[in-house]
Amino acid sequence: MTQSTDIMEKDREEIKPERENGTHWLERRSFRIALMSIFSALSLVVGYMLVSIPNIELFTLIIFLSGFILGEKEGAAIGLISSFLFCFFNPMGASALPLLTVQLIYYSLIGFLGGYIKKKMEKQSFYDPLGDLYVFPVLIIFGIIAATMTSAYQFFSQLVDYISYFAMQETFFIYIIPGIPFTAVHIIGNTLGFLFILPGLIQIIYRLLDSQ
Amino acid sequence: MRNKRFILYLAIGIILFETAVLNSITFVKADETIPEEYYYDFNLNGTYVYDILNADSSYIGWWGLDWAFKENVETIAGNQIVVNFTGFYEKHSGDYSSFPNPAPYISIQFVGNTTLLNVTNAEAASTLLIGYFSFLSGFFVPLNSTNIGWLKDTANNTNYDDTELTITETSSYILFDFIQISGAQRTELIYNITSGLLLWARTRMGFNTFEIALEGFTPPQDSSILPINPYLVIIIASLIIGSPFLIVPKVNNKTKKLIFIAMIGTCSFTLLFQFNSNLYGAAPLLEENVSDITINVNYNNGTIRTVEDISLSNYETSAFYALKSCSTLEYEDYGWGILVKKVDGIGGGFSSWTYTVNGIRVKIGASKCALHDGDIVNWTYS
Repeated sequence: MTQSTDIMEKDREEIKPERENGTHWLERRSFRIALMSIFSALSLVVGYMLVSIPNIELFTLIIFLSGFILGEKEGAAIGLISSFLFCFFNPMGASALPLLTVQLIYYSLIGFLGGYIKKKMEKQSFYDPLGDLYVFPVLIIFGIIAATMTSAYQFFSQLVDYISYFAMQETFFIYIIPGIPFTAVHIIGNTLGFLFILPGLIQIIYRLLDSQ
Repeated sequence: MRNKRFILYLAIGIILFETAVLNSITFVKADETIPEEYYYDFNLNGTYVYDILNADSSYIGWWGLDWAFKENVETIAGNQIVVNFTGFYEKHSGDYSSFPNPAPYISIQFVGNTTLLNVTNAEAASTLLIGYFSFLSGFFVPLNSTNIGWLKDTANNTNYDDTELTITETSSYILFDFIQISGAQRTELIYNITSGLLLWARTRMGFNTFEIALEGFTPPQDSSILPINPYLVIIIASLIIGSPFLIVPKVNNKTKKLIFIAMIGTCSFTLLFQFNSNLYGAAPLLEENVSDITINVNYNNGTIRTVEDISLSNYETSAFYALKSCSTLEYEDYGWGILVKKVDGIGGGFSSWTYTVNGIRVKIGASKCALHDGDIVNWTYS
């Protein structure tokens, strides 16, 4: 009994500094595994939920968020697992192999980038997840990441599609012209999501973790 | 006792008389000669079935042209209306329509509810709002190869200062889009340009919308008829709900900032959704008939099948129906478009079926891609 009390006391002492900076839950391996599962499931649910609305998705946002909360490696893993499940078992049909490859790389990179950006942001004075993330520098960073990454995804996904099937029929320029409005909606939608939804979700998660 | 018996006999007599008279009317066709203003080869004995696509009100009160109330007719989305032409009769004394005498009469059955026998086309137009002012076009307009100009003039002459009328004419149909600037009424009507038969009607009075389409006709897709733009409602609601919090002194600045961000975010997303839905809503209307269509089906296994001289009809004239006419398909309808999954058993793996029309890749769904005579459609599994 006394020994058990001592261990609990020791645990409390170890947890104390973690609690002070609000990260004691995220340091627990079991909690991180549970959170990875939840984020993977959440990204899939959100993906399927919006599958009937073309060009608009929150799949990228959730994967970036998971990387932001859990770190680079976990973010990349969640991106890889979720995108494989979502793109392979998609109600619209499985992605063609070249496109699937681009998707797996892209979403893994998004998860990784979430963790990387957080690591860089943590050193900045404007980063305060328990206070306010709707500050100009954070919004600028999130907005640029969303617009750049979605544009890159659109470019590369259309490029592999073009090289695989349409290179013999038309030039790349002619191939992408009809899709520009649809591409624009995807880029703007993701940018708006990163600007208006992502900071709020990060703050909510950090406050939930901090209140434990 | 005697009085009661008398009343009973009288009631039975009235019912029998009414039944006999009404039943006799269905078999009588006063005049089967089609007046020269109408399409000479119109099938007056045909049965024309309309699907009720949209109806905000479950019942519409049916009024005669003499302003006498007849009965409520059931108008529920999903139900059908069956129209039979009974012939051409002298115009009803209360018929104020701009159309010539004699006028078409119809029996109109609201399936599962009631049937109105031998009513004038103008009366149906007036009650169901398939027309406007004296342009009571209803289910059938006087239209033939020589008088389309007259019909357009008649429509325009019924257009006043506070109304707007747009007439669109294609090789298959004529569309009348009537708008009262005050917003009270908007009526869109599509008639077959050859026969003058109503293909589609979408009409709104106040907040009540009523939409019907001839069975098999694909109506145009857009949301312009909605009494209030739902996207606009969301934007206005978010501004109205959020704005008071921004000016109340008791609310702290942090909360005000979050509310402001939520308002801007809601408005931005709503506008994006509207723009996105417009990208898919502007599909062109399909032709009634197309011919000389060529289909090349590339199975990506060394086999390319070519089918030439395909004719499509009954408004099933899209790139999808062209493929369907010569292949066995597995597909899924997602509402905003149809996705072809397998053609002749091939498909469903990592690759997908895509199509081009005259060598140009089309970004809208194949079911909405209108074909024209002589088009070449290439379907490729890749």
